[in-house]
Amino acid sequence: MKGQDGHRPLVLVADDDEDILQLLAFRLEHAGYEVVQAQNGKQALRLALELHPALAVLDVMMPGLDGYEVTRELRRHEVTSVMPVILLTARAQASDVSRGMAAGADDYVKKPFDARELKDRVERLLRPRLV
Amino acid sequence: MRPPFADGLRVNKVLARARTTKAANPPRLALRIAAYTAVALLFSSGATLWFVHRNTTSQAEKETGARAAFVAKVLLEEQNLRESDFQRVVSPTRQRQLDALFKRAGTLDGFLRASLVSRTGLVTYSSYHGLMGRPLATSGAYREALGGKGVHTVGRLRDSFGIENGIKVLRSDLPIRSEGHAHAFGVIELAQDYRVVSRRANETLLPVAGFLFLALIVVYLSLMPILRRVTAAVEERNRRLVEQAATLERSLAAAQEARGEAEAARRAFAEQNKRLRELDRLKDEFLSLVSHELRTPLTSIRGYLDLVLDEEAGEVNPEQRRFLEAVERNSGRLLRLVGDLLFVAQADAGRLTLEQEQLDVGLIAAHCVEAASPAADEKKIELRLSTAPVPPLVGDRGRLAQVLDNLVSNALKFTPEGGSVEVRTYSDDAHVSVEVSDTGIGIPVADQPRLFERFFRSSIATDRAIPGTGLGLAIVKAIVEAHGGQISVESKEGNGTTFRLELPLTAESEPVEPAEEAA
Repeated sequence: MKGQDGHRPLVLVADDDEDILQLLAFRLEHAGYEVVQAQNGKQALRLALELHPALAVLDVMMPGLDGYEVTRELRRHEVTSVMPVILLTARAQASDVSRGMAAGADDYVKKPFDARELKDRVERLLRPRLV
Repeated sequence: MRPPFADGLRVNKVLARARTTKAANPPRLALRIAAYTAVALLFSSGATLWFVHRNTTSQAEKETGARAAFVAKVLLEEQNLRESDFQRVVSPTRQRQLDALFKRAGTLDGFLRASLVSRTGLVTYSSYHGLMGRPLATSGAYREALGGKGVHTVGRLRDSFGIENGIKVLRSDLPIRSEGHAHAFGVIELAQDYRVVSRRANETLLPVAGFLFLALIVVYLSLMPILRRVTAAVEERNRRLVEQAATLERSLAAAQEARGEAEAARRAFAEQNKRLRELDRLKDEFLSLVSHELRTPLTSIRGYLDLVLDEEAGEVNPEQRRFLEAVERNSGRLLRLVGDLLFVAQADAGRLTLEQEQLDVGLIAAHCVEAASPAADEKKIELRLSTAPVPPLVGDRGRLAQVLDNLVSNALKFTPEGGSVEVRTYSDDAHVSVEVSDTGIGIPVADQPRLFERFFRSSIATDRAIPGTGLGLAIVKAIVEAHGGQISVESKEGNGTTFRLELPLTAESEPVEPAEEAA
């Protein structure tokens, strides 16, 4: 998939589980995105502020900064304040979802995720929209 | 905060003080009452005696004086006294005559002497010759007597100088007048030993005193029982006070003990509460951990499996695909099991929250049957749906679908090829009911009561190696009960099984909250 300027949109994926991180990266790369990987929350935050990705897929349960905290931090910085964020959670209970929304996430995907579902949601959030 | 039991200590002190004073009081009190009574009686009888004495004395004086007056009158009437005897000091001759005359007055009790006094106060004659020719020095009584009325006075016998310094006497000054004269021409003064008066007074007084003394004793003695009664009453009251104090003390001690116990119980309760909260927290953590730790590897397994099956990593030959699909199937089972476990744990913790939406149970049943049709076809089981239109009820669509899916898949699992499974819905005024019946192997009666227990598996299932976790029916029951409904089973071994669930139309289920994800 090409962006409007001909470049592949950059997507940041963060998960502390290396296998899942690779899986996410593989799936998103095959869906036509350029992917940058972070192995923890701190790294995700640094990369997001440095590279200004088009979208971030963040695991909720990461050591150090968790997905909620990273989302909150991203919202506090101007360059990432409106960047779409999808949270990946193994506990998609009502309380987890509402916590994610409160932190400023745009969507959530339940683990184990379905590759097609993830692709659909990323695509939906990257559609041109009014900001 | 005030120190504990401060009230108790203060009350204790007061009680102790009360006890010592009240205990020492009764004997002293009895003595004091006796003493007061005695003093009061003595005083009043003394006053009475004094009063009686005064009266008897004055009575005796009057009587004695009256007798003197009578004697004088007799003497006068005998014409032995003359007016001239009172005008100047009598002659020695006359003196002798008068001496003789007054000797006769010696019959008068205690008679000591007689004097004649002129109107000017001169003693014209006295049986005590030393007084004759002298003025009556001290007494004004004779002057009063001159006014015409006899006067009795108490005084002392006069010496030769007219000074009263002798023994105590009763003196009677009696006016003397001749017939037809208004004024007395002199006074005759008679002196009597006062002991006569005393004796006479005592004659009256002594019996009175004796009587009074007796009365005093009688009164005092009769007072004693009253006194004893009063004392006894006071003692009884004191004893009761002491008892009350002791009782109070005991109940105070008991109250303190109870307070201590209550405090201990409260502390234990708080401690337990804390532990329970801690346990609750641990359970939450555990759930979260299980959820995360089990799902994370499953995420990888299924994710990479999908990758391979999607042929993203090259072609997969049919045999490989068959094997990999077995892996996928079983990882799916594992995932469901994790979900079921979490669900049961949540239901146990009372954390099962339901969505509240209007739903049509008939529709849910139709969807369920539709979804299960391929599996039924595969086993050559006739899967029928017979729904009567039922009123909508409020509940959690996803959960109720889960219930029907579980029941139908169970029915298919336990029904041999060629059998049939039927799903029926119907309703009455208060309930919507769903029945899932099969023509399967049935459930032994002995197993039926435990059927809805977690992890329970009927012997008939284990004997035939029919797979299952023993969680499905526990989940069904939890969901139905969370909706305020009931589930029951009817089964005969070898003759099929019918599960019946009743859902109330007016659901008194939990408050509206988004459903939690568990499966």
